[in-house]
Amino acid sequence: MAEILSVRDLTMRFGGVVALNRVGFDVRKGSVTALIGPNGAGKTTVFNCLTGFYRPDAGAMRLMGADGVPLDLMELMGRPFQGSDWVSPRSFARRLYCKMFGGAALAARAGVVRTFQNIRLFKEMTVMENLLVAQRARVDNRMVSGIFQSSGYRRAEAEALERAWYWLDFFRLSEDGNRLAKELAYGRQRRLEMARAMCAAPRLLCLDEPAAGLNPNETRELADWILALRRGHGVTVCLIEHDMGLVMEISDHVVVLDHGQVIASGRPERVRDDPVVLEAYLGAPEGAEEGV
Amino acid sequence: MNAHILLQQLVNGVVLGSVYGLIAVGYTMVYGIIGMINFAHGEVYMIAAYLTAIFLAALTLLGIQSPPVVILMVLILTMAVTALYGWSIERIAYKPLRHSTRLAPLISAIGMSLILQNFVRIAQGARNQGIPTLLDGGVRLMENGPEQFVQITHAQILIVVTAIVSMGALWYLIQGTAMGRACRAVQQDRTMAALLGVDTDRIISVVFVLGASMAAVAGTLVTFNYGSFDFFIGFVTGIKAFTAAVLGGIGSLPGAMLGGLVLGLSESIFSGFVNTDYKDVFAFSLLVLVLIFRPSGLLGHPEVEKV
Repeated sequence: MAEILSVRDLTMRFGGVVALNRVGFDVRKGSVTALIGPNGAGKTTVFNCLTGFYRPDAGAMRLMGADGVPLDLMELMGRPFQGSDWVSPRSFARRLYCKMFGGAALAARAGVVRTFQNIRLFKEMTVMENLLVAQRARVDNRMVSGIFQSSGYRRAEAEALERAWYWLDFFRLSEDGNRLAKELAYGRQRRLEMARAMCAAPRLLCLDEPAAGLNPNETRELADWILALRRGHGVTVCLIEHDMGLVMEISDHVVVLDHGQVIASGRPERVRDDPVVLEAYLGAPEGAEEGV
Repeated sequence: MNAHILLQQLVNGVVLGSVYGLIAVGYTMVYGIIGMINFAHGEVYMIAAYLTAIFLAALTLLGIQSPPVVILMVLILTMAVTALYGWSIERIAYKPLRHSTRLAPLISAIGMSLILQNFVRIAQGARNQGIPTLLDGGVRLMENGPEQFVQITHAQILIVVTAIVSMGALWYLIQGTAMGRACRAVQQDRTMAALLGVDTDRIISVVFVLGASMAAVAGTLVTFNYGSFDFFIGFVTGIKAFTAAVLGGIGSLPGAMLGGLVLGLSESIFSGFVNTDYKDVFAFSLLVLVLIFRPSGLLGHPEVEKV
């Protein structure tokens, strides 16, 4: 299977703190890849870099485009100019475009969509509106066509609505369509966030602790949903999770981060028994000063 | 208390309030979406007044005389060019400062305001300018004597009707279309909207364009009503409209409309019954009182902590 995402030497510093130190890993198309590690290991920072939330200091992130052409995510997010950019007018124009308009929106349009550990919904909008906003590629956002309700606009809205209903049904939220997002219970808000991410038609879905705060039943459902997304919708999933049961059950590949470095990666059962990983989680086996 | 004076002042207050509301909408929308006070917004209103005169002269040169046609065309042309001003102001003065401290765009806004004022002063002269009256006459209600009547001029009717129509159109645009939905999403969580692929820069530009067009409506209508203007009218009117926006709850669209109406009404009633010279004092005292007892304004939500 081909890689949909390859990260190489990703480095991110905050002042003197090196949050990510030459992190590298691959995500294969159609797989579920888990990023695990103790608190503060840099897992969320990786997501923030992938989605254009932060601009990494160095490294390379390549996403395989829908047409099979690799996209340079660093470029999409508007990395600084380099000597090679000036060589051809075409690459220069592209750099200039990304510099001016680049950032999170372009990464999202390339197909990297994420959820947040602390849920970030549009709380004052209805559930349905949350899902419609996410379908930026489908709806007609122009002012004129909105005012005059052109036929193209109405068709686009109808399609977006249909798509939104599909994901509401999928995540069993159909009866909440017209409620405000803030009125939903916590577990439903989490589901809505995933539904919204799916409405943005992701090719790589990044879930940041999707099981946080869920009860065992809800976690069970979540596992089924993630597997169904991957099987039925061809979505590649990259998740950060502390619930090891969930990670071991659904992931094909596990990447372990500690202090901003990849300390192990491989199949879940191999990583679980890796002494280096155990040490990172539990501290050194003997004579350790630091606790968990 | 004289019922005629009261009614007359109510009429004047509604007219004044509609104008304040139209301008306040621009302040409140910009604040809602990027959290800054666009101090150059008053100047946009002032520029609209000048543009009205320019387009009126141009249309007269072209031989178009019919008042309804002239008014409509001037309104549309002024809105279009003023919208361009609003768009440019955002691109030049605020967009480059998007990721800097909160104070930077504020300073930039004050600078922009000074630049626009002085640009107009140099280009058009510092003297008071005027246009001929297009709409005269009016309707008199409850007439029982030479001094006893309530007069509503045609220009006042035009102001209120146009204000209601344009506010309605704006409301529909924000609540009922895909673009408005994206605007509301950006207002609530700009980063999250960007992470879902919404072009936030474009949405912010749209908000400036909408705000400027509403200020253009106000500028054109007031110019048709009073006929005179200078390069400094944007300052006081801008401050008043800003007060209206804060009064209604800044960030809230119906709040801006309500705030404008409350401010206009209280100002004209105060000047009708107490004292004209102190009407501004009364207006700002009202603001102080509202902010003491309802810090988030009449219709504002208490500040929600953003993640």
